[in-house]
Amino acid sequence: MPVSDLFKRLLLLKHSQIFSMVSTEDLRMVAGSLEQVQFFRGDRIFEINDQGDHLYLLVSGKVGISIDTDPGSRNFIATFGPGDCFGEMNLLDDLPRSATALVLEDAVVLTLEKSRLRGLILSYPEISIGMLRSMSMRLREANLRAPAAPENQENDNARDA
Amino acid sequence: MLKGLKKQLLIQEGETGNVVYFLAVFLLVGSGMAIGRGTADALFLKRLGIEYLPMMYMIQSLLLAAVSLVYAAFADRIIAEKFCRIIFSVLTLLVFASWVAMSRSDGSLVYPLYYLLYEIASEILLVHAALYMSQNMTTMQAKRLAPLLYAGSQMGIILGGLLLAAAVPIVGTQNMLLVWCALLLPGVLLIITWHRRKGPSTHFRAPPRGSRIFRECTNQVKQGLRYSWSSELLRAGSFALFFMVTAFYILCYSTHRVYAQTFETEADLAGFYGMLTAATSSIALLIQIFVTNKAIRRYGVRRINLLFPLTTLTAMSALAVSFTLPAALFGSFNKDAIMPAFRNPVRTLFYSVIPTYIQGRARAISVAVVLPAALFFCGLLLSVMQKLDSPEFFLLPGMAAALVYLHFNRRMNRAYEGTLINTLKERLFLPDKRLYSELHGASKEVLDEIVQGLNHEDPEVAIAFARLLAGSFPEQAAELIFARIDSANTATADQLLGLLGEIDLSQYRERLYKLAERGDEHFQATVIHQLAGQKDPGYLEQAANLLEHANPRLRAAGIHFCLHQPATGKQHEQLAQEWLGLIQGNTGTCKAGLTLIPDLSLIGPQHRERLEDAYQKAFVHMLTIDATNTRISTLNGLSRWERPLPDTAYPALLQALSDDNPETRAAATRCLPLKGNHSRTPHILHAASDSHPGVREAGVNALKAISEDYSASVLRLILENTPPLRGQIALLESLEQPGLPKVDCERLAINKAEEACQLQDALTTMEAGEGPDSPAGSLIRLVLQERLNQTIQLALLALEPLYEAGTVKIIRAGFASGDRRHIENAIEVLGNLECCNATKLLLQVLTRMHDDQRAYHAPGIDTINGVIEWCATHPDKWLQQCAEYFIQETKTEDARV
Repeated sequence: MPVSDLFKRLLLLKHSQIFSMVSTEDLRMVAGSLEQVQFFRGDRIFEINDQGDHLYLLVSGKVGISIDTDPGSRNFIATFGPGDCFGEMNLLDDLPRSATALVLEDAVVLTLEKSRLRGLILSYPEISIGMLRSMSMRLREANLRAPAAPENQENDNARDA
Repeated sequence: MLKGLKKQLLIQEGETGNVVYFLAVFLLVGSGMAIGRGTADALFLKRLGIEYLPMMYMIQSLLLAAVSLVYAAFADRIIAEKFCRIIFSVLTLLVFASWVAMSRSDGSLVYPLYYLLYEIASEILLVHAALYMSQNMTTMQAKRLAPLLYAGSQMGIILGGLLLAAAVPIVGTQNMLLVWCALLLPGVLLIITWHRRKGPSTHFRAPPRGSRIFRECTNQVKQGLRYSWSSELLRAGSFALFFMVTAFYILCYSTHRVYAQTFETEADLAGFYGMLTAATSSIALLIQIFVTNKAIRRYGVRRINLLFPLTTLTAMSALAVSFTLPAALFGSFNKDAIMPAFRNPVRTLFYSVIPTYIQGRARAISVAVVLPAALFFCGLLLSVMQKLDSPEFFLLPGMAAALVYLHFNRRMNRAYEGTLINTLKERLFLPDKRLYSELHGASKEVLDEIVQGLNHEDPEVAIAFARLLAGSFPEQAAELIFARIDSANTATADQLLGLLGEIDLSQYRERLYKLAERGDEHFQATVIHQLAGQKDPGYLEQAANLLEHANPRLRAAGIHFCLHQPATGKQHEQLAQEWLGLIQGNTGTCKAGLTLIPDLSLIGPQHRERLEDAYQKAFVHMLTIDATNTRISTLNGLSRWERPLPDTAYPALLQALSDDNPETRAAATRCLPLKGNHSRTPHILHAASDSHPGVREAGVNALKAISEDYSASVLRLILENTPPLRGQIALLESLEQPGLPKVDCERLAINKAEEACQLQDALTTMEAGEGPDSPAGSLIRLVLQERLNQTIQLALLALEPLYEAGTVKIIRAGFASGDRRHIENAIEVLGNLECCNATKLLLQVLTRMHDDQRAYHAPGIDTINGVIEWCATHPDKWLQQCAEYFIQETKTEDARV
């Protein structure tokens, strides 16, 4: 992988909530484990109730997140653009997807597989410590704004999808 | 402009409303007090006479004690704003009643009463206003804003003084009492309105309700006194206050005497008092706004604490030389300008470092006990001395009191730092060392705890406690661990037995024989290894039979046992053959053969050479096998190899160092100290910086193994920034007590604090950079921020041996948490630690982190290009790579343009 790609991936990871507190040095391992996938307009990256085992980082394109069970629904609770990350919580739990991710514009996505991340965590535990710090920070933020701003909560739910 | 003014006055975002409110309250208090003071003094001195003043001091002291006792009882119980309302309302009524009494009768009793009313009110009002403020602010807020708010009260005093000077010729001195009433009433309304909108004081914590408030009143004074006695700071502070009051009132008496002689009519004297109050307060105000805060920051609380005693001594000396108006004016300047501008804010800061729950009581003790006692003493002294016709008779004791006051202020300074740290520790809920001291040492309670852990049903818990037991109680360990083995499954028993390796088991041979018959062959092998360690010939026959056993591990155990017994050359020949068979066999036999590497020294040299050759070939072969367990076993065997590292094994070793499996990396790291490995140090340092703590530990141990003077090596490597920062932290943490000498710790802390300053400069430059944000720029910023945090952590680690552990914890909490209170506490500690350049630099870093100040210190890194160049030549490899990426991206971007 070219160095510039590695650095770009690293920045994408650093901007995701789940890896925001992992050090850039440790993120190099994660960045090297990402796989690039191309999706086209109208593709479904995942569907509601699917068994999720990937995290997605959007490099280019646009993705809409819908919690409607109707497959044709265009009712999105959030739309993601380049640099956004979604499906994070599926890396940590085994619950089915809570939303559908529909590609609105041709998209290049980097994915990280759950089993690969688990292997990385066992090999490089500082990654998990950084992730725990990120989760703790996110929990604190959620506690602080929970009663005040339901729209923020909605955006978080979409990311967790 | 408003922003600039706020910055100048140190008002931070969100504080404006609070500041304006308290300024208004202090303004009203100040203006009322100026009127009260001028009228009380003028009416008393002209309608009664100065000769009664010492007696007034004595009565005042008794009254003050009684009123303050009540105040002490209620100060911590009633929420400050409610108490404020009560004081304002009662005072309004009493001032009005005094005016009515003065208007209706010409008896002289009302004048001393009014004088006493003013004196008592002024003491309570000042103390309570400070308490009220502290119940609505954090420590650092109070510290930052106290001078400004005191300036508000000074502004009030100026306005009140001017009003008095202007209005007295028109309405007369007596009617000014109504003006004071008119100022107190809006104060009450303001407090009611503000707290209706904002709610009660945020930092007030009501004590539990009780019905015996008045009995508790004396108890509270006793508690305050007891605390004062146990706290060096409060003890010195109480003595200082006693002598300060004595000197102060002698100075007051002297100046009043000069003024009463100089101004003949009551109106002239009241007008003069108004002007004097306005003038001295104006000077005090200017000092408070433009000098106090900066002086405290620059010279520290402790030096400023000595200023007022020195000026008091000077004023007293001036009056002793010349008992005239100019000297009296200087005396008034000292007590009315220097005192509010320097002494009062500093005194508040000294109080703020004692625990919050005792602050109210401590203040009340000052007012209820110390101040009255000093005042009574002063009144008594003056009433005797004034009969003698020369001012020197009371000025000389005054000078002596000022000197003793200076002495106790110096003692207060010494006690300040210790009290500050203890209080902050309480605020952070840091556990005291005493809690831990009981856990150390061989007490029975500790042993019982460990045995309880050893008998835990979870095998991992049991093994962890068994390790602790074997290490800390070796005499009792064998019996207890054998008892646990009896109830453990074979796998657990195997690991538990392995922990007894260093302990003499000669008494337990029979138990070992029994164990050798139990369980699987793996466990039997472990038992035989233990028996071999006991050099027990009783098992020799069984061990010799094992040499032909089908299980290679038992064969290896048999060889191991026989090698530890006296044997003939023929027997050695047979053992060597069996041994070679293991090494040259398949992977399974070879793994068993690896356990025998430490026994190479026990066999004759003629056999040893053959075995070593076989081992070298086996290493290369085994390290290339794609099975993690086999590679780890081989690396573990290799780490026990006492000869130079075989060249052929080196590439496989390097590969193992970057394996994904941390156990493989750790095992490979343990091989690095082997002789003949000339490039071992960089690999060891890399391992010491690994993401896995087990690998880091292996790296640290490897460095210990190759270093003649480990501490000196660690110091040099960290000062030269050779390992990555994570590695530097691991190395510094690995130094056992007593670790580095203090002088080296300080050197290291300064070095890292300087680096932190440079990293912060670089980060600030990158953040201030103009133009669109590039990915490379973002990455540099992220890495600089990470490096800054790690460097601060290192500096703090280096500081730990220099200060009490709790002190560094407070600072660390300030840096790491981002919590405002912790930051304030850390700033407080850093600013007050004994002089060390590292703490000064860290204070600078912490302040800049949160105050968003941009100041460049390191030359060459005040531009983005400068920062990139600096990063590209930095010893940190990751920072270098990021800088190279930035340069490459910029070139690509330029070419595109």
